[in-house]
Amino acid sequence: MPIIRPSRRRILKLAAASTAFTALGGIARPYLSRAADRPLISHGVQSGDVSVDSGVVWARADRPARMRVETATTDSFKDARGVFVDALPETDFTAKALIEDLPAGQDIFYRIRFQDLSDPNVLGEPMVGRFRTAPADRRSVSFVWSGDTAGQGWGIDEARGGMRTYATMHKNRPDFFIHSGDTIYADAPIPAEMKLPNGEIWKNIVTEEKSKPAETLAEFRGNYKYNLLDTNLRAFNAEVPMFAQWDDHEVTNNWWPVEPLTRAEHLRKKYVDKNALALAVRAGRAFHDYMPMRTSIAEPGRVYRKISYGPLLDVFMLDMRSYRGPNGADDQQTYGPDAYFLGPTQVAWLKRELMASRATWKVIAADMPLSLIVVYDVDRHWGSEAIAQGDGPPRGRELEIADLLSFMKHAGIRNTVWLTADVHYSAAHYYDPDKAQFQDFEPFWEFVSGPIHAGAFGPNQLDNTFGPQLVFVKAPAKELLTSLGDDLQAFGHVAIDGQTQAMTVTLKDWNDRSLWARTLDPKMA
Amino acid sequence: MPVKMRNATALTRRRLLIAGAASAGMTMLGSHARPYLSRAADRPGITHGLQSGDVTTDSGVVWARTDRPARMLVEAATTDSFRDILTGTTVDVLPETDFTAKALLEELPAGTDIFYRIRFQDLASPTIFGEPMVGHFRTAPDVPHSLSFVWSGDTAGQGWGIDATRGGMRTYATMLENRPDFFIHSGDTIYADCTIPAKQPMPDGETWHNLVTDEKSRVAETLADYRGNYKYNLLDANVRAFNAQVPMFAQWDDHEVRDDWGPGELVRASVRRDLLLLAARGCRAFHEFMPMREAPAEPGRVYRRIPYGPLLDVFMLDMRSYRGPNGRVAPGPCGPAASLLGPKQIAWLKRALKASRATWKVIAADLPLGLASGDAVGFGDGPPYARELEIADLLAFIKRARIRNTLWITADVHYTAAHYYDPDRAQFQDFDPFWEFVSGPIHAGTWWPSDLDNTFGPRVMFQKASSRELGENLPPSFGLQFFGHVAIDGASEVMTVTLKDVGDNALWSVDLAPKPDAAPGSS
Repeated sequence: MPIIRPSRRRILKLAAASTAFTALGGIARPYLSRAADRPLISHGVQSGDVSVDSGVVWARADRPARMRVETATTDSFKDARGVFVDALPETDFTAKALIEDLPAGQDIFYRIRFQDLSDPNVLGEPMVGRFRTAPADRRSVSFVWSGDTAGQGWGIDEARGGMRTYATMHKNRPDFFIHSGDTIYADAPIPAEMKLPNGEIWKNIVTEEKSKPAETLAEFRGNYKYNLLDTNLRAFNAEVPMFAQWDDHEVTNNWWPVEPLTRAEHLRKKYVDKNALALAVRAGRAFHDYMPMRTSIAEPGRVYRKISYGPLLDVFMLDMRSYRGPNGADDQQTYGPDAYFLGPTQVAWLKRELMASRATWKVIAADMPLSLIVVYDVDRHWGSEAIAQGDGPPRGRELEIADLLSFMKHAGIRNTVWLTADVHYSAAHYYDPDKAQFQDFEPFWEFVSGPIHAGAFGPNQLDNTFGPQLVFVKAPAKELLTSLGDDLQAFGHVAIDGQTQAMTVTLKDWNDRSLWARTLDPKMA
Repeated sequence: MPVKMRNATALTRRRLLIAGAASAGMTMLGSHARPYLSRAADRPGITHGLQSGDVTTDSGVVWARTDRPARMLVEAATTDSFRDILTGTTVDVLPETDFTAKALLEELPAGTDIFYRIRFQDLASPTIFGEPMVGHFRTAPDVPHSLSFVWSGDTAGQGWGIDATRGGMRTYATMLENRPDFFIHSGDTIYADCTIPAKQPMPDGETWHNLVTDEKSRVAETLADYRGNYKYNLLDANVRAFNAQVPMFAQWDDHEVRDDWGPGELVRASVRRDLLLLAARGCRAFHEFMPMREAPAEPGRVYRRIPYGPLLDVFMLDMRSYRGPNGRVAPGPCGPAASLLGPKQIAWLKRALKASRATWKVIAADLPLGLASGDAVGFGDGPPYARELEIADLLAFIKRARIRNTLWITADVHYTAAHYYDPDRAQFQDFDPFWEFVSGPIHAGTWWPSDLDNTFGPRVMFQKASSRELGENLPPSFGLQFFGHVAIDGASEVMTVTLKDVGDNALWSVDLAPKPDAAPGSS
């Protein structure tokens, strides 16, 4: 099948051969090499994990190169300041830098170019991106969230506009984007053609690395590179910072740590390695190479983190993958390693950070919904992949969630909202203790969106343990199941009003149609 | 000349510290780390001992390397019985970091002995765990409590490698006997550009017999070569024993890349075009093998402040990565061509010094200030010129901001000395007098003294070196290997600096009483 090379198309064209790099120190001279072969920015620029005074920027070169980053508050780059990061093959030529000491609530422009490490006079052309820092005061903020990119074989069909949901999200001009996970589908190859329910043929751009389930580090990286071939995604990345999270498909479907890769679906995928941990470690490295995330050497692969977004909002990014016990019946009567989901360390961190939060709204970004039953082994129709396993009092992983919810109630933590994706349809769930089996918690909302660009599923069955009320749902009719139906690609939009502090949540589809909306007033202490 | 690499597995099994190995298992490390120990012969090993570094009152970095894709499991406790485990973490290890892993342990108690236990879990067969190894470091005190540290530089230079019959890198053993709270490696942690031959003639007619490896048989070019330099040093039993007990604050100088290298050298037509590529590889290997914190703002950054409680702040400088060209190539009195630390690092250092509330502010430099050298600061007698302008500005700032009790420590010149910088003797006089102490080499050739440069008025209060009669590049076995020892008394806050040699002889010592902080308005 044809191999498509990364596009040379530039996302933002601006004063390219402008004033050169005087801010970057003595070596980068205004001289621009005439060499035809200059280092390229191969997959656009990205930013992420922005706070009131900082943000991460990302780019990838096509060779060993020094990434030079300048930042400024105007796109003229007057008063720019710079930093450099070397990109070597060990990171697949990706580089990221945390830009610090930025002014709050400001548009920040960053300009990236690569300098050839084999000949420092050879500088590539610059590319400019932007992000906005979080406000330090009570100013209105908005963001979008969704999940599930390029799943079930639905890749980039340029004739159909590519990954259009990114363009629609972009139009909303959000301050940031939470990717709720399944940022890639490492285990779902992208074939040249897919059949739509109406009989039409969907024609994918294809690459070698997306032609089989990922096993090697190069194949995992190739998944991210595939998505970044999409023009909509690159344009979005250049202007909207991402808070990235991971779920299962960054590794393989429904995995848990040290899972033996011996289920029927693993055999179909012909995995050479026979345990999920080996895949997960390579996948984790690719995820961190390609996501514009902060990292901490306290645990270099850690995904869970808090992102403070000014006085109105704290975002708690969870990792429901890395610390879970085995997927199984999920029916333990008492909490222990086999019932871990977030795991005790992450739960302790979350409690501590929720307690310490002074923000009006506490958004808990989860990679899975709390009460939807997701089957682990679809071939045997057995076991629990998420938290819920069926009606009744808390059992298995629900024990951990029950403890967390009741902690939040007793600690007086108000205005928590859960956001997630994962199930490939849109829904609004209101968790009502009066209708729950386990009642020791304050009512709260959970909003589900997605997919960004994948097959549509659902709806899944709700488990009554925590009393979820299905206030809204939009899922495919049976005949559209698993297809990429036009109005079934979805994202959520959240706006917090600076004056009233009210949060308006709108579930939208990829045509930017509002499916459902609700305004939540904050409870004041 | 190159001799076959010594069988690496011989090392892996050797254990540095035997500590309740088959003890309670890894229960703190999550559900998947089970107390089960595989009987399999081929378990993931710890190939090069353990290291710790960059410790503060509540944290420290730990490091290990394994022999295959693996998950590093770390536990920390305040006793070597590991009865009450304080914290644990995991780090995944792949070939992309040459199977090295480091983790920052946080939320530790201050002024406490911390024991850390590391083992690796085989990613190919997750039920297989390697044997654990235990290391130790001490967190900084959060009260004015006596503390001590050692510093030196220049490891395995000029072809003087590990001669087991001569006791290997003995200075590390001597430093360990001093039981310091930490060790500052002032740079030249490796000599990437010096090969280690099997035999080297000594001035007295004897022959020095090196342990040799393939990677140390050539000047480093590839990333594997650079990594091989660190691995070579870690073959030394003294180094590994030291590392397992004493945390390191690591700094780099030129030999982590090339002799006298700096990005500014690229202005010379004679310099190879891919110098920055070598530097990037050298930097990557340095960060992989040194137990350092990382700055996400600049992943390769070496300069940093390490707060060590109320008595001490350590400022680690990087005089390599941001410098202009050496010598007179691109004169111009000031500006990028004349920079050494560079404007960004200078601004950081001024800010950090001004913000410091510690009694003593130790500035760990990879080069001395007052010795004439084309590669360092001193340009020759006379008023400040080129790089001296940057230092003059810094010293004047320290005076005007009334930052008291700074001292400079360094290595680099392969002899030991105490320099007192006296404005009354200086060409540039707008600074408060200060001390600079020079030590090293740890394990390299010993040189004769360098010429002083009178710009900042240094006076040699002591020095011990080779001489023209003894010759240049004396082998380590001649006893002229040096380190410095610093003790700060918790009650009087007096700092005692002692210059020592490989035999643990105190060569010279000085007591420095802290000047009261000129506190009013000093913030």
